Amino acid sequence: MTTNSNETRAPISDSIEKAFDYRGDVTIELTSGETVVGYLFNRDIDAAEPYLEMFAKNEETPRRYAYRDVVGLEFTGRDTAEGKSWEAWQQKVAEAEASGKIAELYPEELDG
Amino acid sequence: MAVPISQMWTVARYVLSNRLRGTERYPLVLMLEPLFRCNLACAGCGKIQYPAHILKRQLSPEQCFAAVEECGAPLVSIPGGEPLMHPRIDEIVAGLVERKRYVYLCTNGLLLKEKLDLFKPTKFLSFSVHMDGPRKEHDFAVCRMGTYDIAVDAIKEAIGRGFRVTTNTTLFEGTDPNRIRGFFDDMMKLGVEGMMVSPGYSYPKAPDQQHFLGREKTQSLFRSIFSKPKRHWRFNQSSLFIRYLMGHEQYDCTPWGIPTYNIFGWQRPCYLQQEGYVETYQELLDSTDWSKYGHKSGNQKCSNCMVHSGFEPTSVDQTFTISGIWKTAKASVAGSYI
Ligand code: SF4
Repeated sequence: MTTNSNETRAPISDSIEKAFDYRGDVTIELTSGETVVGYLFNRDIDAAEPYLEMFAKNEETPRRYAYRDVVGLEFTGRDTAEGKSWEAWQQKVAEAEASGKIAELYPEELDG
Repeated sequence: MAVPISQMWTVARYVLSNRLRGTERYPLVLMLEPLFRCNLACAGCGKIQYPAHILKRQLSPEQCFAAVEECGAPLVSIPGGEPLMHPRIDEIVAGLVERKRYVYLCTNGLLLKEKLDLFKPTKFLSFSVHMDGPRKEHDFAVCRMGTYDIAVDAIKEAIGRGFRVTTNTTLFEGTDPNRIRGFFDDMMKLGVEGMMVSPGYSYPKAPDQQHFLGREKTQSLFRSIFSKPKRHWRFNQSSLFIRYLMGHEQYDCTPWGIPTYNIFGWQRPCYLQQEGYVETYQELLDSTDWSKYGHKSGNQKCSNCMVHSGFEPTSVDQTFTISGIWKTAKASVAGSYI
């Protein structure tokens, strides 16, 4: 995990910023030793007390943590924005057309 | 069926009263995203790329009503995800209708026919069916064959049962203007109340990054489509927005006019970009540095954007100026956007 301390404060805020842009789950480690797995959907580094917000898996309400309480962050879930290209779809349709088998092409099922 | 006079009057009164009061920023349409789950996975869509536990979450009707009441916009658009997959969508719509909001329920049409019984026809509710052009182009854009025919069937059924139905169309690079003109004819033949059309926005998270239009291409495409509009085409958007897309108006965006609320909160700064979330609409207005957005800002993410959620509120606001009234009248009487 990326660690946080007075000397390495910048890297943890950088990691939080990357996590905010990431479309998969992350795992954060807190000063208390607790780890939380979930989707980090918000952060405010300009707030008087910079904080992040995340939806932990299987919990209804979001959790909010101060940056200073986060000692580590890892990208542990699949990036859901990765790997579904337009080209792959074009190729699939072209092949189906060529073989005269334009049947329904269903979207992927939701995972998890 | 045409846009009800009561809706036009509500919007006109609302915009004029804000202009007269000198309100600098006011909401016109609330984009209420009750869930991100969808039964399609369109290549140009950046809205649905989330882990499964996020896709399974949804706003409750109470959260939707609180957002609508706080924001105060007279029009509410419900995009998603696919709103018809929300198990309480009927309650949400009924609650908004009760609050006399004009609701545009956006749908890809796949579930529309089977869910119609959940709703009652009223002037406050329109189904806005996602149609990205003629059959071939639409099925291609939504990455699933057969979708166009299902949506057309659902449109016919909804119109037949007395519902208001509009279409919304996103155009991408490579669009053939003549095919879109033919598509407009087809939609009018189906009996839809009006059409909405907008260029796509290059979402950083959309799988397809190569087929979005730049500004010049957008203007040239829209000029080709609209230079000789047919008299029977009806649009559910302002004439000035069409003129803007053709390059005849120079506007900057007013993203607070179409704010977005979803399971994460009020999205900053607009429907397209996700730079963070706040808890209230007022906080969004007060805490966003709006000078960082729009064409004049030099923000890269805004440079090619001409999307309705940024520029339709500007166009509607401009409709209530002397030149706006004249241009709008010319478009409706002479059928010309030039
Ligand atoms: S120009 Fe487009 S992307 Fe930029 S803030 Fe306005 S609506 Fe959003």
